[in-house]
Amino acid sequence: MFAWLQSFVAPFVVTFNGQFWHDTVVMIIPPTDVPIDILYVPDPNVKTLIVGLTFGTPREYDPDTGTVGPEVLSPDIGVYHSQEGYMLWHWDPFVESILNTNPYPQLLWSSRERPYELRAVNRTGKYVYVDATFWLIKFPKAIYCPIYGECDPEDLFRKYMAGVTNLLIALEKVGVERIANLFGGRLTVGGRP
Amino acid sequence: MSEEVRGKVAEEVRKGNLVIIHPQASQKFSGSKVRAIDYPRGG
Repeated sequence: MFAWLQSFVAPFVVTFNGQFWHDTVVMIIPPTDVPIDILYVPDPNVKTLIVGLTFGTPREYDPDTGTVGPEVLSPDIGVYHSQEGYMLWHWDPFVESILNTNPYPQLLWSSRERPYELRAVNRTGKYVYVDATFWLIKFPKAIYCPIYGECDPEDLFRKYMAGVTNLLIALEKVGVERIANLFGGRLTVGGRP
Repeated sequence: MSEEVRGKVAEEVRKGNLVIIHPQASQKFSGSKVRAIDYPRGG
């Protein structure tokens, strides 16, 4: 699903010693008329690239027994979320198209100074149990790049992604035939020699 | 969940607080109506 993430982000991760990580939590959300704000604060000792937030199946929760019950799929419950500079506030209701699909990676640089923000809403009248996983990659706070020297990973990642884009656009401008000539005409287009 | 944790969850959610459970929840999550429970420990 994340083929382009693997293609273009993986080399950066491997080269600059990114470490894969996830935080998987259980949330018990009480019924409330007032939204509840939550800050997810990454490890202060590293730079964090958040690649996604996924949810399990929300279920009714009985505080008396600590047991979970039937699924709660409803537009009356969910979370708004945002990451300053990278993701606008938007609504993730706990409905099937949100819970069952994960169409794009987020690629959000988050830090103690700029935490990941969530706002939980639960107007179902029920206590709700849901698990959630924050998928992320941790980088050292400073990384060495042979071109730019010691860098902030977030700044270097922007340069790297711009480089990928510029390179591909430049290749298009040069033209496939000229590029093919560099390889003795052996470069194939559309599967044909 | 242990009986102790279950009791704490019940107490907090009945007050209208959202509970987050994770071994390092208190280091990672905050909010005026958020209660982090560090569970299970041992990592």
